[in-house]
Amino acid sequence: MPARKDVCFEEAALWKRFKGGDKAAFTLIYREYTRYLFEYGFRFCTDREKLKDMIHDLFIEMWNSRDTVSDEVAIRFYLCRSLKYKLIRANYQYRTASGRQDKFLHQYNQVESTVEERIIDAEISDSRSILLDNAIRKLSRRQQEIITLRFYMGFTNAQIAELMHMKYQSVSNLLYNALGRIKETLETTPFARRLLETFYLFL
Amino acid sequence: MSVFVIYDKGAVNCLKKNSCMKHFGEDTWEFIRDDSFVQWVLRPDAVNTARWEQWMAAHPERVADLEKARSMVLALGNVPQPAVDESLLQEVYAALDEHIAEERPATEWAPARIRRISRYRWWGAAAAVLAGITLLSIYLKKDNKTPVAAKLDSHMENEQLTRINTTNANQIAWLTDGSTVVLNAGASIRHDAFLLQPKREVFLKGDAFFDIAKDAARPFFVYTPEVGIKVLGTSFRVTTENGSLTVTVKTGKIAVYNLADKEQRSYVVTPNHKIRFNTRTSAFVADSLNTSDVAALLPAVEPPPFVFDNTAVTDIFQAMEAAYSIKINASEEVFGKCMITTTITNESFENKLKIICAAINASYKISGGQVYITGKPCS
Repeated sequence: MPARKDVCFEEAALWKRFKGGDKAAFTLIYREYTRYLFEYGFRFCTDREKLKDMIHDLFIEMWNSRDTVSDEVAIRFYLCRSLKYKLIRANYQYRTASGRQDKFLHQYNQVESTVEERIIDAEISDSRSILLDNAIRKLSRRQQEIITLRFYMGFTNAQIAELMHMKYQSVSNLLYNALGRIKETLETTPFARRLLETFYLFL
Repeated sequence: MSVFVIYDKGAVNCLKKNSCMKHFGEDTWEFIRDDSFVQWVLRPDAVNTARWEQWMAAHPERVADLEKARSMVLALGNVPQPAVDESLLQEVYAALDEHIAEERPATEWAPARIRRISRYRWWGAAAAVLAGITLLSIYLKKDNKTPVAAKLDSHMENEQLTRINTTNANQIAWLTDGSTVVLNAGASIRHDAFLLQPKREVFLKGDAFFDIAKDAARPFFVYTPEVGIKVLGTSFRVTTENGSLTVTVKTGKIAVYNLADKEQRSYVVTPNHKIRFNTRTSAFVADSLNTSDVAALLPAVEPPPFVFDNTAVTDIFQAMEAAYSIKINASEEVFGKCMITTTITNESFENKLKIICAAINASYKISGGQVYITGKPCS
C-alpha cells in the first residue's frame, strides 16, 4: 500500500465548506496558507508589521465576503493575487519609488542572509541547493520571482501572467531566460560543473 | 515534437521562433513549460500520476528527458525561501482565531482550550473549533452508542480486502471513496482497501446494490466473473439467477460488457432499465423494468448515518472499522477519554479520519492497509 502524502483537505471540498460558513475550514485555510503569503509578500514589502496587517485584513475580508467569492478557486493563487492587489494599493511595488526600492533591496538581502545561515546551519546541507540558490540570486528580481512562482508556489503560466502583469507569451520567455542564466552561472563554477555531471541537471 | 497528449496548447511554441534556443535544452524545456507536468511533479496525486505514467508508457524515448526535467523542477522548488518567523505566523493565527471566535455565542466557546492547542500544528485551531462545538454536549453526559455497524467477515490478502456477508440479512460495506455496497446474504466483494488506483475496481460475487460516489476522474468498475460494469456515479443492483446475471439501474448511467469479449463492446444501461446476461449463450438482453423490479430497487438498506453524540473516539473508530473493514489502531489507553460530537456521514473515509484527528489533536498514518492514530491523551 503506497503511503500517500498527506496534503491538506482536498482543496475544492475545503473551499466549499469555507463558502458555507464553516469556521473549521476557514481556520484550516489560514493555518495552511499564511506562511506562503509572507514568503510571497516579503518580495515587495519588508515591513513585517505592515505585511502582517495586510495578511490579517485579507483573511478577514475573505471571510466576510465568502458568500460572494467564486465557487471554484485555486486557493493559493487567489490569496497571492489578493495580497498583490493590497500591496499595489499600499504602494509596495518594487518598481515604484526608488527610495523604497533601495530599502527593499537592502532588507531583502538581509532576509536572504538568514536563508544562508539556515543553510549553513546544516538544515539543508544539500550543496546542490546552495549552488542553485546562489545562481538564482544572480538573476534579475523578476526572474527570481518567476522561479519562485513557477517551482515553489506551483502556479500555472496563466496565473503567473496575471500575478506579474505580463502577457502569457512573455511568461514563457522570462522563465526560459531565467533558466538559461541559471545554467550559465552553474557552468562557470568548476565545482558546480562536477555536480552537474553527477546530477545531469540543466544540461 | 507535438507528442504531448496532456499539453499546454495555449502557449505559443518558443522552439519554432528559434531565437530563444541558444542557452537551454529544448528537450527538458518542453516539459518545464507544461503546466500539467509541473503540477504533477510538485503535487502528485493518483489522477495525474496515472496520466503521466500512461504518457511515459506511450513515449518511452522521452522518459530520460522527462526524468531530467522532473529533477530540475524539484531542485528549483526546493530552493530555500525567505525565512518567516514562527512568531509572526502565530500572531496572525491568534488574531484570526480571536476574530472568528467573537462571531460565536460566548457559551459555546472555550478560549482556554484554544490557547493551549494553537501552539501546535497548523490545524490545531481546527481542533479547537471542533472541540468548541463539542464542548456543550460533553456536559450533557448522554450515554453513547455507536449507531454504525456492519457484520462482515473480512480479511486482507495481497493488499486486497475481501469482505463477505456471512449473515442472513443485507449488510452494508462502506468504501473509502464514499461509495456504499449493500451485500445480500452470502455475497462478497474484493477490492483495494483504500481504492487509491486511478481505476476504482471491485470484484463482486453474489447479489449486491451499489451506490457509487461520483468521481469523474476515477471511473468505478464492478467485475463479476463474466461481466464488467463501468460506472461514473450512480446506483444499481446486480443479481444472479439461474445462470443469468441482471443489472438494474436506479440512477445514473452504466456500461456493461462481456469480459470474454476481446473487443469489449459495451452496452449502456440507463435508469429504470435492466440488462440480462445469459452466461451460457453470452448474450445481453435489455429490458424495461416491471413493477417487481422497481420494488426490488427501493428497499436497499438505508446506510445508517455517521452521527455521533458525545461518543468516545475509540468507539467511533470501531464503527469505522466495521463499516470499512479497515483496521484502525488507536490505543484505548490514550484516546479512551476523548469524546466528540460530530456528523461525518457524507465524508470520505480519509476526511472522516481528518475530522476526528483534528478534533482530538491527533494525527494518522496509513500503512500496510491499516490506519495508525497517534497523539496525546485528552484530559
